[in-house]
Amino acid sequence: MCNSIFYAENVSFTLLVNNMFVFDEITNNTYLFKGLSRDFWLEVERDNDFLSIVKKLSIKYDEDQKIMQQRVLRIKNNLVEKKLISLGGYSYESRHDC
Amino acid sequence: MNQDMIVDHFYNIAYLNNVPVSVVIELSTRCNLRCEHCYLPNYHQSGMNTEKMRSLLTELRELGVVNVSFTGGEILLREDLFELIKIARNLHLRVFLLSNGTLLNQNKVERLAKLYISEFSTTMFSTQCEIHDSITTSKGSLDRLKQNLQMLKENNIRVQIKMPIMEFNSLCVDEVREYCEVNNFKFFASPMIYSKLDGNESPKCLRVHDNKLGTVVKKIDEMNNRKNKLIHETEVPCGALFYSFSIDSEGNVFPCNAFPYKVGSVFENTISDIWNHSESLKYIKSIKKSDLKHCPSCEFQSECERCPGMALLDKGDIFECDTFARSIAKLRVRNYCSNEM
Repeated sequence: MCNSIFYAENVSFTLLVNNMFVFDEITNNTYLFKGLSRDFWLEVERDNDFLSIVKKLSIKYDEDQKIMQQRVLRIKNNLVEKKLISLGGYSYESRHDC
Repeated sequence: MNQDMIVDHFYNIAYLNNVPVSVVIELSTRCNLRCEHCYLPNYHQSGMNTEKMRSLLTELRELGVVNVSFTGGEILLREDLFELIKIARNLHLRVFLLSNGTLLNQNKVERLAKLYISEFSTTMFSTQCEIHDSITTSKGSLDRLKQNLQMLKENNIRVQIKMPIMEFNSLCVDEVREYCEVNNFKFFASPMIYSKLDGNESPKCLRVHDNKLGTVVKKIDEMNNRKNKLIHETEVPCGALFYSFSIDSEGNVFPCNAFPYKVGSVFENTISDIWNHSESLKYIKSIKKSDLKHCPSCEFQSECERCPGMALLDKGDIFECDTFARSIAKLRVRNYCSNEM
């Protein structure tokens, strides 16, 4: 399993009063994340390591780390499927040199 | 929640919490065209430098902005345009470009595609060169625009075409709309032509004449699917004032780029200070529809798209009637509510 997580190059996002709005600039779809999905998205900005993010979220939600890992894995897989995050590779900034 | 509901929810939250999610930044007033209806009073401001723009974009992000529109003048005359877009994208901001579309080339379009801009917005007056070029006062401008639009399309960049409708191109609405449909470009047409920002009223002479205006308004309303839709849904003259603002090429801050009422300067205060503490902005936002001079008793109020900025330009008074918007509202009432006339 690849443990490095990055925002996809095609997304924009903003945290608006506890609501995370994510914009896919390819499809023009807007997504609204709340709760754990929102917190996972916010953690990716600070930390690219999946297991480290799981650990932080398990503390925040006071939940067993293994259970949290399953919950976060589902969210991560969903975001990968929607092409909103990418795994491994380079950071967002380094890929935007032009 | 479907897409429309999520977007509505986004702006509702922004409006209710006074979060400025959208900003329009004028990068320069320099332009390679001299469109007859243009609202700019001059074409020589080169704009804020790259470093100021970098700090400004960072500040905007921290304040809650996510939609950044770069406008001009012609934005592609700025040598650092791609650097500015890159700065904004690295801050995860959405970037909307407003350009006349004549200065693109293959290389530039490919770079825009790689930066995942949200939309490239441009202006087309007609699909006929003699009409479009006559308004831009630049021979060959339509051919260059069309060629560049095809490049944008091939690179999957979303395009919006705006069509200011004037007397000279009033018969061209269908042809531009069809061009947009064929190419899957978003289309927006409007007959709202106003004075220049310095009060020069010369563009108003270009407006659609009264004998055609009713037909034009009906046509664009059908396209925009707004028939019988109530516009005024809140108690304030303009809801956008609560979630957006504009910065001109000299760093002056305005409630909107069509609202020449300065509320601060980015060289004197932080954006946060201006947005949260500017007395001028607070004053503008405090105005209720019931405070306006004529609107509360106007029989065309329900169909009027009055803009406070346009009223200020038109009459020099924020509380006054936007007479052109009122004349269009009157036509709408005639078009859709004939039994009331």
